[in-house]
Amino acid sequence: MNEEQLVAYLRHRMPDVQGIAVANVARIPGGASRETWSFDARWSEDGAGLVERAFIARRDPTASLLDSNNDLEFDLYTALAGSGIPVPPVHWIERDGTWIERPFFIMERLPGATDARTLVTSPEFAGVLPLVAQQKASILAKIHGFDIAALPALARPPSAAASAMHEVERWERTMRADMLEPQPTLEIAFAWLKRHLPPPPERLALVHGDYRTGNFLYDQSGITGVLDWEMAHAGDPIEDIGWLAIKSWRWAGDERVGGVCTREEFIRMYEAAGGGKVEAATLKFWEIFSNVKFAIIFITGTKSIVQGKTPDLLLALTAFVNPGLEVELLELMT
Amino acid sequence: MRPYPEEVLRAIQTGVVSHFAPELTSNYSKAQFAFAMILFGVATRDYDSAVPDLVDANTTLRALLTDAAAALAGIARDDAADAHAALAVLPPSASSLHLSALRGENEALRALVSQIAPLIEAAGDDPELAALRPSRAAIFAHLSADARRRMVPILTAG
Repeated sequence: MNEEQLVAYLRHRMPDVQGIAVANVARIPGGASRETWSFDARWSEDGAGLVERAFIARRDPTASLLDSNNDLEFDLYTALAGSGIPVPPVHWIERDGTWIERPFFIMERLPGATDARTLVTSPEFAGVLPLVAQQKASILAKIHGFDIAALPALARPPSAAASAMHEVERWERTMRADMLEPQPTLEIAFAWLKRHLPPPPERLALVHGDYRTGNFLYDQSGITGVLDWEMAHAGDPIEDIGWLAIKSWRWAGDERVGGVCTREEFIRMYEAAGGGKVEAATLKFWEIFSNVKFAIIFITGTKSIVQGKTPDLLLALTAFVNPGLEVELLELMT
Repeated sequence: MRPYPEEVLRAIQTGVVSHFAPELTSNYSKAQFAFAMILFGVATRDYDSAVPDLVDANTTLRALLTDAAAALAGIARDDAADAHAALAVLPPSASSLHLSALRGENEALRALVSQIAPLIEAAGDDPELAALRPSRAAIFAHLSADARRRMVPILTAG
């Protein structure tokens, strides 16, 4: 992705503006499921004079940790605009590689940073951390209260009663398709999950699927945007709480979930913000599920790197996250 | 002969840090470089112990499966009988100390643990599977120890 490609694309999208210039094109590290590029653009517009914008381009990778598509994220950002859930405004989506080699979409770059460790360990953000924790819980309650009827393309299980088993079977299929070696710990975990299915949720909710510290933007004003919706689906809302509670996201190195507050504090704030009741047994189910899901994401990445589908070394490195997940799973199931 | 392969890996790592790292400009390439350095460290660590680790793991797994088969023999349930039959003949031991042979044996043994996973899991609280409970604890302990050996501290939370 380079300046010339982006200028040509913006000219195509905005034929009535003049003097389009693009600068500071840079790929943002991370983003193991989709490439994330940042760039600045400026142009002249009749009546508006000089316009300057900061953009993010999300482009399909050559290989990925996840089988996902741009349409879902683009549609979600579009549907969530104005809902009170902070998401970046999206502009354009391209479903082929005509303009920048692979499909992509473009959205505005919101203010703030995503780095989780900085948020939870830097004295600079110590003062805002309680607010971030409260917003993290209340935004999640809003996400779970969003009417999924507005999202017809959202993947969903056949019923609320089938939602947990639907997710278990979906990830089990992924594991069987992508694993390059036997996975006895995950097999035991799948057996545990199938024997401990939670009661069905009252209704199917919008599940973010990757709601964690590190996937929202923050600054001194608190959370400025919720990102990375590529695993969103309809399901049991407690799935999101199970995911954000796993040990992998305890960035502060203690028991605080996501490094921002205790599990009990988070649940209290979530319920107070209108989220449903969080039962301990249901949360444990989704916490175990989330460790399994995380491990399978890295099994997919391992397959991509071993088969030479990508040069992204992050996918090789993340394979070595799995031993820690296996230890955690075995402890949770003991 | 010297340098040994692990010394070659370390030399390559030192060389690329000295010669390539200063040339990197974008945050993305610097991140990829950092990933490569961690992976060099993992490869160097695992190179030296790969054979004894696999020999030990295979010996342990063989004993665990033998014990599990004995426990299953006393459980009067169809799924236990099927599992017992699956464990009746364990895969052959590796024919050499080549990593490929040892890995083949290891994968075959872990596949058997996978095959009996539902029973191992249920033995935790299913009274009919009580005889399998010691095997469950021992298999959990082995899987946990094996995973801990493979952990990379910088990637481990908590």
